[in-house]
Amino acid sequence: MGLAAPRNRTKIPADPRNTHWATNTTNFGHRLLTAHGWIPGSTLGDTTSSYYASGHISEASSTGVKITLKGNNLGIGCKGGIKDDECTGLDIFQDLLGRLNGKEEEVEERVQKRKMELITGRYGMKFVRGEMYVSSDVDTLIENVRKAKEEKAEIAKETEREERRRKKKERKAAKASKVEQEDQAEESPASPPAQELSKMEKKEKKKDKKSESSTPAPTSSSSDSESKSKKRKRTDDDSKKSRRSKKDKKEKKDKKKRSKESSETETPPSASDTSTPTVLTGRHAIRHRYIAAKRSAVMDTKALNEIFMIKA
Amino acid sequence: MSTTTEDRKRKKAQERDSQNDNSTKRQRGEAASHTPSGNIKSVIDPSKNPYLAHMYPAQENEDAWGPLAEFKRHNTTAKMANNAEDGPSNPFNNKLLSDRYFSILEGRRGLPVAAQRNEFLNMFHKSQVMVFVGETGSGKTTQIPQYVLFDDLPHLNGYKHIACTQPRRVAAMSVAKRVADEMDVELGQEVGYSIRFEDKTSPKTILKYMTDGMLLREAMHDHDLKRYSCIILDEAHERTLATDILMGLLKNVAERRPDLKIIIMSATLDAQKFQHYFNDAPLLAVPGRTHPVEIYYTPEPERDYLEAAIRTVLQIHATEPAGDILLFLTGEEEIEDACRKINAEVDLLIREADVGPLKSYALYGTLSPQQQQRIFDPAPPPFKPGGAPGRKVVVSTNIAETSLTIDGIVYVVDPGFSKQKVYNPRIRVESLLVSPISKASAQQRAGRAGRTRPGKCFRLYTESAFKKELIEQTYPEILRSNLANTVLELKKLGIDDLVHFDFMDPPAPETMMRALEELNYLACLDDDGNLTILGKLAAEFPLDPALAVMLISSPEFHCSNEILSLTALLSVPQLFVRPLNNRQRADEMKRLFAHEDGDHLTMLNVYHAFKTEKNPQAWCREHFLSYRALQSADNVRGQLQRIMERLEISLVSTEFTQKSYYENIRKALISGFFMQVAMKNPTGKGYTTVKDNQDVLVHPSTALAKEASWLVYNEFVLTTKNFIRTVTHIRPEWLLDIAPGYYDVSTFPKGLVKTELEKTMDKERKKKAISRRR
Repeated sequence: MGLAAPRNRTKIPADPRNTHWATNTTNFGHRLLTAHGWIPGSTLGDTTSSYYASGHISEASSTGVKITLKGNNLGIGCKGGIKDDECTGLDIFQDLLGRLNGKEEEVEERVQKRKMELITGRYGMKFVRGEMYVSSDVDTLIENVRKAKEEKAEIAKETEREERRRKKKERKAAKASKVEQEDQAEESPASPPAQELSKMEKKEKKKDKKSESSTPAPTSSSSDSESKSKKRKRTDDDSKKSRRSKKDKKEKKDKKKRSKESSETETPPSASDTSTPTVLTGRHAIRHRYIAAKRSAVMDTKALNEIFMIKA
Repeated sequence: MSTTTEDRKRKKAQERDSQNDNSTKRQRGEAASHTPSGNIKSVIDPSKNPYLAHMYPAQENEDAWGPLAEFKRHNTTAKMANNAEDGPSNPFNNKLLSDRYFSILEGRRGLPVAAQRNEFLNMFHKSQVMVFVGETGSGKTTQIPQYVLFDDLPHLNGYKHIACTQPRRVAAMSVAKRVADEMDVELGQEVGYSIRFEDKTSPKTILKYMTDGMLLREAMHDHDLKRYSCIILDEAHERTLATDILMGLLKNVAERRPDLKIIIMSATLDAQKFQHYFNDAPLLAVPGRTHPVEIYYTPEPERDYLEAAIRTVLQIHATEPAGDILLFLTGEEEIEDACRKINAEVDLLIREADVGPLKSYALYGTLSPQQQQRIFDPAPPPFKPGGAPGRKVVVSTNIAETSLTIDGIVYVVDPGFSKQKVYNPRIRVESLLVSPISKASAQQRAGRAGRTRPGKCFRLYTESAFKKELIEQTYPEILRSNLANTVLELKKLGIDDLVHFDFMDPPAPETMMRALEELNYLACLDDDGNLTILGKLAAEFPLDPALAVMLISSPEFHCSNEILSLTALLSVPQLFVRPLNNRQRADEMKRLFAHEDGDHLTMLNVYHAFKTEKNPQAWCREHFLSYRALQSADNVRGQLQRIMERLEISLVSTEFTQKSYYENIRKALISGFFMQVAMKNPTGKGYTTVKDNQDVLVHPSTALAKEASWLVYNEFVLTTKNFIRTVTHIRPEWLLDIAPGYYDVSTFPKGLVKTELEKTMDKERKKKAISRRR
């Protein structure tokens, strides 16, 4: 954040990764491992086995687990950095600004609604509905196992047709019994069947749609937010139609929308609705709003009183 | 087939009845009323009535296995076993089964695994190794070993044991207790457990729950595990170090011992890996009993996961229907912080809006068992009848992910981080670092919400982050630990070729190199990589090799009593308690024990004071010490002392009044920890570790009061700064004297440490020359 930000000075020591040790091939461990047939660069373990070849061994077996030191509270996927259009501390002036903008009633309404907002919007966490976690997914596991087995059986057929006929027979018999067992496992009443689940989901979605008008808290689903944005678009279109005829009105509407937005996204740094149709962004938007506010403040006596702390 | 056996059984019982005295009929009638069903009419044998035991001394021995008499090993069915379980007498000790047994039995029959008992047995009969997948709640940990017991029939097989391993000691204990109840036997008799520093088994024991580490220790002395006929590795998905080594070992043992049966039990879906590893072993899966869980993601990444987590908890509380919340965070400090913030916010919320009470509980490993128990308290009731529901929020580390099940949880908040151990072999640091969890962990966490009814899981990251940034599986412990101890164990297990040992996940070569090198410097391995006498002795101790070596060589320094205490103190969690609201007072109290030469000696002072105290509990509270840690250190000390006595290591002390009392202890420290030494930077503050040349600072908690130019440290802690913790002042000439192999100056890289050591050598030479002249 420019010059004002605290400077983090870090001194990098001479050999933080201790390459002195890592590149030294004369140490005891290195000597002993190579004596036992280890080739530098390869992994340890039984590298000739079919298990090894089947790709179950991760990269970490050769390089070690690498973890970056985390010195902050950034969530997963958050890259950090400060958004420049974020203006903190403005919420305190919301009421005042609202009045300055001539939105008397709206401000009153909001004050009335505050108690309601406390519950639904205060913590400002928004969530998108993801998939469903169902039981242990044993069915999929069994399915996977079977698939893997089938594939393997095909390969085995190709390669081992002539030789080891006896062995193959044995394995087949074992396989058959396995498949049988799996079938039974599948039939067992593990979890509500998939159809029912999807029904449930649908029901829930319906519910969500119904309760759309009241601000959805953590449960807000993706469909919900979608419809919301649609609504916004509609209003946008409306304003476009009436643009030519009622310029003033449009301006007002825009402001209204903006103030609504700001009330919606009061607390959360994360919950910024990117779909909003504002033309101006960032610093310019704030500036624009500021100028407009200033202009209207001169017109509004009540707001002026408030600024100069005159009790009417 | 089972019907015929049943008939036969009945006939036999009738025969026995007719032989018996008629006067016992009345007794028999009473006994019959205990049985839950009518299908076992006259099987009750008065000889099995515990009250009449004295009348039938001979018969009891002769027919000790009544209900199992017709069973053949590895040829039983679920029906037969169920019949045997139905009583009326206990097939394993011939006592009459209690009412409690039958009420438990009813519950057991309803478990998901019970439905698949026959399938299990079929597979068990056919294969030597099998993989069993069942979610938590399927009953696998308690039931499968019993199923095996009814099929393996130890009495027909020379009373060979069935072992079931657990990664955690607490689990081994509590499960053994539960199973003893289920089988209506006394814990420690037919069913027992064995954990480090505690063995609750008897000659009668046939089913043994134990930690995986314990089984590994047993394997050291009995390479073929001859004592066991079946080994069940439970919770294999947790992939602890010991479980991984055991799997490699059992794979070998299975070839040598075709009669040994092995069951790998896992709770997650990576079971295919186990299958492949064990040469395509058959797999049996049993569904768990979880309800569907809706998963929610944030639309955008969170800038502060802690704050977001707290807001989510409050939002759930304010808007969602009743149901408890489980929040996963990373560590003690963060959890306590979150609890405080939640409490403050809730108070505000209650005043401003009409919401119910919310009670928060912290849960982490270092809490005392009583405090941990509190999380099972029911949620608080609403303020007024019919009002908004009260609920509890449990803020936990990842111990609530698999090992601990809390009923009533409906909402899970998952920020996606946990503290994970990681080892850097280059700078030799093992530390707990906050890092993103794996997808498998995230799914486990979500599953926690569906234990009682359909739940919701709120992930504080985006769906794409879940897909792209999280790794599939958590890395097994073997990839994240210092392997010095493991290598020592492997050597003791008779495995010489560590390069080709069949690891399920081979450790990184650098980690292996470091471990070998450390053991070589500690003289546990000779230059050909064979175990030395010292190495064999060190392997007897359930300790880190450095600690074990220090303990073994302590008699040379005339302070083995003190080093024994110190070893015990170093192998338990933090002694000093430093509560947030009383830091100053805690520090003052710590100063009472402080020794100017460092923390090891300070800890020793604490222990000595603790041992002379009459009311230690109150004393500990007063002095901000952890009573639990001290008590367990005392316990560990006793156990180690027994091992030392067995190995004939003498216990000696220097006279306390002598000047060399503390000096000897400091010297003995070096004998084990000469590889963990740091030298003060002549310019500026801080220290540099010897050989690895890392810049470190002394942890602010130290009691060290001197300007010390050389320090021996117990721990290298990695945070935003590099700290060394638990340090003690030493002299460089001791290093050259005690560990000449490691302090061979010619092997040192050029630098300050080398020149300092050379200076010390010169000084020593001059001193010697002077003394010789005199």
